Formats: sequence, structure tokens, C-alpha cells
Amino acid sequence: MAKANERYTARRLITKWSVYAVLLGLLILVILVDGADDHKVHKGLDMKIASALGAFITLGLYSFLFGENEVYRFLEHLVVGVVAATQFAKSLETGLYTYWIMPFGQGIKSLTGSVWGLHNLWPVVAVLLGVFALVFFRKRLWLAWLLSAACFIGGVLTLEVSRWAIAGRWTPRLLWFLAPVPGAFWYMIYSKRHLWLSRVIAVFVIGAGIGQALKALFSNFVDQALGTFKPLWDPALTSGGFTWRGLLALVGNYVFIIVMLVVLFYFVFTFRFSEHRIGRRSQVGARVFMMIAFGIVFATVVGTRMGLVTDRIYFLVEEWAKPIIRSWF
Amino acid sequence: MSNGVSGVLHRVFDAIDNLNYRIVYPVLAVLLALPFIVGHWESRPRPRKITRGLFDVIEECAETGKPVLLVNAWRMSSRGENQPQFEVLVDHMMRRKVKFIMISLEPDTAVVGRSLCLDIQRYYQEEYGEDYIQYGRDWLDLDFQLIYQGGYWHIWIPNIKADGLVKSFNTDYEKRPLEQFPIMRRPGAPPPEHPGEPVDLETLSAKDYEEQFLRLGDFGLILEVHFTYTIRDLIGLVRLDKDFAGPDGEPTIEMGLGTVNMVANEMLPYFDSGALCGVLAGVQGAAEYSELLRRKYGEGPSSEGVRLRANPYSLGVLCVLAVIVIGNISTLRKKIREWRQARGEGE
Amino acid sequence: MSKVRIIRIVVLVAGIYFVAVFLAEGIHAGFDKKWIKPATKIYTDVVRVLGMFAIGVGVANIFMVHTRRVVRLHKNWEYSLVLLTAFLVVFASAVLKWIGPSSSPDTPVQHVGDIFEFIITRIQVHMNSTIYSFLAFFVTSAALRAFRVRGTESAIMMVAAVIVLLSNAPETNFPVISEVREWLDLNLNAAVFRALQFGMLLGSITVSLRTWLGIERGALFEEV
Repeated sequence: MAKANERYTARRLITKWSVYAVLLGLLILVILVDGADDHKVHKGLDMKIASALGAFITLGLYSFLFGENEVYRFLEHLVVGVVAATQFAKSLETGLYTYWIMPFGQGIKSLTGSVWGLHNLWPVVAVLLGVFALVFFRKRLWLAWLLSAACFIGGVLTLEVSRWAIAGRWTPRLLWFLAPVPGAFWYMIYSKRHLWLSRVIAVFVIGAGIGQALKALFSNFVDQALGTFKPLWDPALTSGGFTWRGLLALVGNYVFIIVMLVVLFYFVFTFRFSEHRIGRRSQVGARVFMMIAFGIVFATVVGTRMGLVTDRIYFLVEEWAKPIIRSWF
Repeated sequence: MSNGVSGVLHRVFDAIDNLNYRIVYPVLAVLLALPFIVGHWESRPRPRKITRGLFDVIEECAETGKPVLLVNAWRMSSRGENQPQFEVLVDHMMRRKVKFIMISLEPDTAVVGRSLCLDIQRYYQEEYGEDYIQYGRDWLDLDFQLIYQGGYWHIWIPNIKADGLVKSFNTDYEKRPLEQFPIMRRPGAPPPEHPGEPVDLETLSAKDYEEQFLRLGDFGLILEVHFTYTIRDLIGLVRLDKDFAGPDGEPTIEMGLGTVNMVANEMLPYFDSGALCGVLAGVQGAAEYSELLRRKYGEGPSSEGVRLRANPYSLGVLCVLAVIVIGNISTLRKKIREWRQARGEGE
Repeated sequence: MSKVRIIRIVVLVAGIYFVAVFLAEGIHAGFDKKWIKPATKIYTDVVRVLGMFAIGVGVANIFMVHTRRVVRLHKNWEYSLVLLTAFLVVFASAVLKWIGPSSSPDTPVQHVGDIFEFIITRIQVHMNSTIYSFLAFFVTSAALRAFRVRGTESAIMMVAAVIVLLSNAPETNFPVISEVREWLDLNLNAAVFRALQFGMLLGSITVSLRTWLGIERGALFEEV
């Protein structure tokens, strides 16, 4: 029985890899017969490879529409790998480097001078210190806490210390040296014993974000509430400035306020609104208004997705197929 | 058995009922590809209020000379909806010589957005001369900024308020210091002491820095092109901040958004309350904006790109409409048949 | 002191600065400029940098899961190998870009450092766009199979959807349809969404306050 299974697995693998070999052959063939001068951006082999790969990825992923298959799964995993790597690399390059590694390295350089260009290695030393502090002092985490607290206080004092140290010239933050200690707390999510540390750093960032977001939330709320106070009468309608459009706008204001209140009351759960006659009717009204809104939402969702798939068809026809066909004829 | 037209129709609908639903996929793909194969046609959409609002505010910025902060936040995955919007907005701003500063929130569209701006700049330079639009004087690209992972606008806006744009962003996409660009100087600020020489920010006092260089409150419009939005936070943090209010207490900075169709729905309450001056809703919004531009100024570099996408979009939408109608006719037929059978059995 | 209490104190202290600034806004312009603005900047920089250290958590998780699958030869281990290989190749190209010469992404690939930008602007774009565009096909087949009138409410929903779909296409956007759609959008749709957003805003404020005060139920404040 085991041998029959092995044969089946081996046969399945051979089938799978031969499908990939055929597809790879087709891809190379497309690149070779592509005699197009350009694929919309510039000439060159790299553009031909990009177009062919793009078409392969698009059509391979679309094969999922007709059922799950090997090519789709291969591409799905490829997509996850590529996207994760690009996001990670870009975040390192433009985030951590710009806001921590570079200022920190320059701060060290302005104090010590460029010692064989090693000032940029200090951040690496700092990261190792963070890992060391947490691993070596894992039984005495109070020491890691002390270092973190020194970092937070140091961040506040840093500007003053730097100015004093370098006689009036502003220098980026020297005490960022200690930042990897709380920074490494994020990775305690993988440790059963110190899992709570990952929550500490998470709630610190969340708490700061909440503090700032509250301001924006309240401001939005006030703005929306004030916007609901619409004019219920237009004097121009009775003083010689009557237009049907003006009347329609006034009716629209009434409709707006009624619809808004009815739908708002639909979500009041503090008391049983639906037990009263008006409450029951308003619930029916609320459902009708929400159905109209959801119908509009469905139509806009259709519009959005059509816009996105139009772009894919545009690529396949205009940027890939047409240049190749034009080069043949 | 029915004969004639109704019989044919019954047979057609019976066949449709028995079809595998997957047939819809290639039919939709062929319909969307049709305009690219057969040819595109002129379509004249009717611009809505939400589109006209944004158009009017950019026209106002052209009159008052206030710059625009363009937040380029779309992704390549929403290129179909957002790229035409980005193109028409940049086309309008360059055509009317509205100064704008671009910040990108995604690394890939930082490159694409810049390349689109350079293409449109090149078009107008060929049309009206090299001096018509110049990088550094009429527009600037601050490249990709880590707004998302950096804590969103809640963390960035207080920093930008405290430091101004020059000290917050430091360099443009080619790592050139921002203080050297004419666009970063405040409108009405005194010219640099030594023109042509680099400005040393370290020697500048805080008061001089504030007087000479652009601050957030100097913008007339913050315009975001995003696949969803972050502008709701900006409304709370910037537009409703009393620091940016005029002498009459009214906000001086308008907010505009170009987003995908389904998200534009959610932003309608903000347009209604006046927090947003306008919203571009997907390809449709871009087509409407392009129509407004065409009516006032004629065709431009962005018209072709919008037309290429608008025609297949229309066909796709009409295909879904047809499919809904066909599906409901099929249901109605079944209901009538059941009712007739029940009546026949009852009798 | 229990660990949950420490977590509650940290979240309260972290948020208290901004809440205090929000409540005390405009007390004195000089105080604001001299102390609050620089302090806000330093504090926001600290928060930002500490937040950025979380970059590697997701990547570490991907590696742990998929490496285990490859090493232990689980079912479909070859796909995990594809994922890991793709990740390493792309990350290696990013490192080559950081340490070597590179040119503008709009020009042909001339140095090894250009490969990373090539992957982002020419390869990844197709992946993301295609994934997002899948739903167009599913929406169409769902419209054929499931969007049927079954009662009054679904009929109302369908009529509204048909009006907006007709209005979306310029070829069928007749003046009457356009006016009706605009009126529905600005007077009915906007009103419903405003009511829904009031609910969401109040919910967000409530959850934010509960999290800040440490009384929210959930994984963050669970006993460890």
C-alpha cells in the first residue's frame, strides 16, 4: 500500500513539474518571438520579459476562475513571497533607515568623527545590545526595563545633551542607542514566557495613536453633526425667486433629515423603540432607506471592480498582445 | 408547446437557465476587450456636483495662487481606477499653472506618479515652451514617505506643524535639499539674501524660517488620490484645526479626494457637510472631470488615457445590468410557470 | 504588580500626553510654542521609531511557518519552497540596490541594483492588480445567479442598483436618470451613510476610550 502511494506521489510530482516545464517553455517562446520595439515604456529585453511575465501572471491567476489548479497555487505562493519581501525591504529602507539608523549614525559621527566609516555600524551594535539585554537578563527583566526607561527619558533629554556636547550644533539622538531594547519587545510574541512584553510595546504604540486619534474622531463627529442642521425654509421661494430646483433642494433637505433620523433610530438598542406604532413604521422606513443605499453600494462595487479588471484587459491587449502582433505584420 | 417569437424566447431562456454560470467570465472578458480591438468611441458623461466641486476649487487655487498638497496614495493594484484620476488632476493643475507638492504613500506609485507628472510636464513644455512648467518652481515631488508605518497622519501632522515642510521632509526624490526650490518659499516671502547660493537652515532664526518657508496653513487644497482614504483623519487634524482657520473662523484649507467608486459613497456625508469640496468616484469621476476640462480648455494629455478606460468600463457595467435583467426574467418565468401549474392543478 | 496592570498603566501613560494636549489646547500661545510643540515632536518620533521595529514580526512568522513545512516535507511543501525562494531573491535584490549603483526605474535594467525596482514596478504590479480584479468576475456571476427579486425590499434594492448602473455608463446616462441618481446620492444615500457613520464614530470613540483606560475585553488585556 505504501509503495502504491509513493508511486502516486511521484507520478503527481512528475505531472506537476512537466506542466511547469511546458509553461516555462511557452514563456521563453513568447519572449523570443516578441519582436516589438517597445511595450509602452522603453525598448529592451527587460521590457519583453516584464510583459511576458506579466501576461503569464495575469492569465495564470485568472485560471482560478475555472477551478483551483496547480498553476494558480504556484503563482499564489509566488505573489505572497514577492509582496512580503518588497514591503519589508521598502519599510526598512525608507522607515527604519531614515528615522533611526541614519540620524543615529550621523550623531555618532559628529561626536567621534568618521572612524573608518564605522559610524553606521553603531545601529547594528545597538540592535545586538537589545537582543543581548533581553536574552541575558531574561531572568532579571527589571534590568531590561531600566534600559528602556533610560531610553524614553533619554529621548526627551537628548536634544539638550547633544547641543551641550557639540557646542550649540543640533545633533540627532545619541540615546537612540537604547531603542532596540523596547523595540525587541515586539519579538517576544514568539516566547511563551515573555509574551506579555510584546503586549506592552503594542499598547504603548496603540495608546499614543488613540490619544491622537481621539482628537480627529471628535472633530469629525462635530463636523458631521453640524452638517446635519440644514435649512428648512428658503425665503427666496416666497419672495420672487421661486424655482423648481430650489423647491427640490428644500424637499431634499427635509428628506435628508428624516432619513438620517429614521436610520439612526433603527440602531438605538437602549429601549424597545419597535413596540410603539411610530417605532414600528420607522423601522420599516429605515429598512427601505437602507435597501436603497445598499442597492447604490452594490452598483458602485460593480463599478469599482469593472474599473480594476478594465486595467488588466488594457494591459493584456494594449501593452502585451498588440505590440507582438504588430511586430509580426 | 409555444410557437413563434414567444416560443423562441422560451427556448432561449431555457438554454440560458441550463448554461454553466462560468460562461459569464469569458463573455465579460471579450466585452471588455472589444473597444481595444474594434476601436474607442466618444462618450460624454454628465459631470456631477461632487466632481464639479473639486474642479471649481482647483480653478480657485489658480486664481489665488495658493499651492496644492497632492497626496499620491494609490497602489498599482488600483491603477485602473486611480491612475486616470491622477492624470486628469495633474493635467488640470499644470494647465492652469497651479503649484503643487506631491507626497507619495506607496513606494511603487511614487515612481509611477512622478513619471506621469513628467510626461504631462513634457507635453505642456512642448506646447507652450520650456518655461511654462518647471520642476522645483511649479511642482515638487517629495518621494515616498512612510506615513502608514510611521503612525499615520496623527503622528505626522503635529511634526509638520511644528517644523514646517522643509525641515519635516528635508529632500526631494533626488535627495536635493528642499530649501533651494522656489516652490518651498512662502507666497509673499522676501527673496533669499544670496540668490543662487544654497540656504543654510542652521543659521536661520526660527522666525525667519517661519516667514520664508512654506507651512501647512499656506495650502489652498489638500488633495488625495487613494484606493480608499486617509483624508478623514486630515479633516479632523487640519481642516478643523483652529490654527488653520482664517480671520472669520472659517477653515482656509479645502480637502478633495479621488478614490474608487465604492469608497466615494462613504465620503458623500463629508461632501454634504462641506468638509470635502469634491470627490472623484473611480473611472466615472475621472471621465466626468476630463469632460469638464474638455468643455473649458479642450483636449489635453490626460484625455486619451481616460477614454481608453471609460469605454470598456461602460460595457462591463452594462453587461452586469444585462445579466441582472436576464436572471430576473428567468426567475419571473419560473414563478409564472409555477402559478399556472398550481392554478391548473387547483382547477 | 501583575503584568496586566503594567499593561494598563503603559497604555494610559502613552495616551495621556495627547489627550491632555487636546483638552488643554490653546491655553497659552507662548507655552504652546515653547514647550508643547517640541515635546510633541520628540514624543511622536519616539513612538514612530518604536513602532517601526515591528517590521520584522510578520516576516519572521512567514519564515517560521513555511520553513517548517519545507523541512518536514508536509503536503505541498514545494509551494512553501517557492514562497521562501521568491522572498529571498527579492530581498537579495533590495540589498544589492542598497549597496551598489542603480539607475532610474524608468530606464532599462543596467545594474544589478535595478532589479529590485524592476520587480516592484514591472512584476509586482501585475500580481496585485489581478488579485484585486478577480471580484469583477465573481460579482458578474453572482449577479446572474443570486441577485433576484424575492420580495419588496430586494425589489427596492434592485431598482436603486439599476438606476445607478444606468447612470454609471455615459451611453445610458440620460438626463432624467442622471438627475434622479444625483438626488438619491446626495439626499438619501448620504443621509443613510451619515447615520451609519455616527454609529461607527461613536463606536470608535467608545472602543478607543475603553482601550485607553484599559477596560476593554480582548487579547491585549487578558491574563498572561
